Amino acid sequence: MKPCPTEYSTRVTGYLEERFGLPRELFDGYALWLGSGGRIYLGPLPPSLPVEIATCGLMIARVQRTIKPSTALFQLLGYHVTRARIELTDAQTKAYVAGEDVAPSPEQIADVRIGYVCLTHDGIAIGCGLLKNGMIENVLPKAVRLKLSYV
Amino acid sequence: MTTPIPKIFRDRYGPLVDDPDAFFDACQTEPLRSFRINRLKTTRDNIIDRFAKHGLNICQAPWYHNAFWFEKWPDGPTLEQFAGLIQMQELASMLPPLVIYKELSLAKRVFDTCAAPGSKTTQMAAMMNNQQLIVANDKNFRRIAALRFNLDKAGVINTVVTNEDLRQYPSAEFDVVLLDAPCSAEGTVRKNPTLLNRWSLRRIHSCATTQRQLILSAYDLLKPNGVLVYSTCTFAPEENEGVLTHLLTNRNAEIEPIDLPGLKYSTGLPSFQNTQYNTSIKRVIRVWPHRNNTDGFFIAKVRKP
Repeated sequence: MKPCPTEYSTRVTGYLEERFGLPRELFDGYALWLGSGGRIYLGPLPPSLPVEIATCGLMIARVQRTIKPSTALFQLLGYHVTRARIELTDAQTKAYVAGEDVAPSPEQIADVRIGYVCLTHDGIAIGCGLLKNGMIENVLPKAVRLKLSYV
Repeated sequence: MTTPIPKIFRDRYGPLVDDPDAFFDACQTEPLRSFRINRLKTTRDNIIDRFAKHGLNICQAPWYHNAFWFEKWPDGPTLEQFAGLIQMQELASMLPPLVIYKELSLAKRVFDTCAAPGSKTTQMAAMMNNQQLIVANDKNFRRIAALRFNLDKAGVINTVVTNEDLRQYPSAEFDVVLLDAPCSAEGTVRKNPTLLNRWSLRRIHSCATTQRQLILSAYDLLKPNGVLVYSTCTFAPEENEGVLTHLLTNRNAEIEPIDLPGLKYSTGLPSFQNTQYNTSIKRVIRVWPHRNNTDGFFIAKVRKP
């Protein structure tokens, strides 16, 4: 775990601003950190500590060939997302949280380009999805999937 | 089926409580399904409105405006849980951060010494509104994964995680240190009734030996005028008053009084069996399961002059 090199952090914040309308100023006062496997964390500014930092803050994205925003990012900052945002119905929310892919209506994706999207329901940011071939592919980590009692 | 309470357990703790029958009954009662509202992601009013809309009755703990329990447990997990708007957390486990509420609002650097799985770390991060710095440490690498999961779930961004043995932690200075010490966990008997099958005095003494080392290390990481909170979820005086007395004997520490309006608690024990404790121990608090329908807890607030 080390502070994120500038080229990485600029690429990530640029992508989040361009695709989701998340202003870079949201990250002011914090730092981006680079972990293993291209994982990017939003955490505190590097502190003066006499020990190695194992991990920090919130895992916000994974950078490989493309940038994949995390569910944790949208669950915290999804309320600031102004683009590539899809509001799910009750049934879609239940299915998506349980780990299923979801078929959106044409109206739901009218203004959304293919790629990663921020999913919301009734004022709650659900997480990240992948809009592709007219479907929202489920990219929720298996560990967070749940069979909800209601939505 | 409830696990019978061993006679030696009854003989040890019966004389310490105001109503032994109620205490032992409470130890065999199922715990409340309690949760804390995560103020990093939502508001109290929003959660109250949402659960009311779905016909779920919730009750607020009298001593903490963000602590609630479900009157009737929902059929399964809720969307609010999934999205991290609420954190399932035992009511008594929310108390240690609560006693340093004011100190947290002023602190620049906070150290959570035995942090995993992170319920108190995430609570402190919410109290600090994700500002300043929390160093969350845990010696056990496997438990760091649970801590990592909970930081993401709660939306915590002011925290770095370290994986060190507190007893060998290099010199550093913190305004606030939380030592929620590994303990014999007797106070969680409602959730883990089988722990009574494994209960032994030997385990208590082994925990107390470790805790005496940990509390000195934790105290030494404080800045002057800094505050240490020492807590356990056990009833054993050897792990509580005994550990505090060890600190007071070896360091120039001061125990501060704790005031939690709405919570029923007793003060520290002046003695247990043949051991006398430091007289300022009366300022610590003991939370018994039958008094508030929570787990058992012990909390001390210590200041470094």
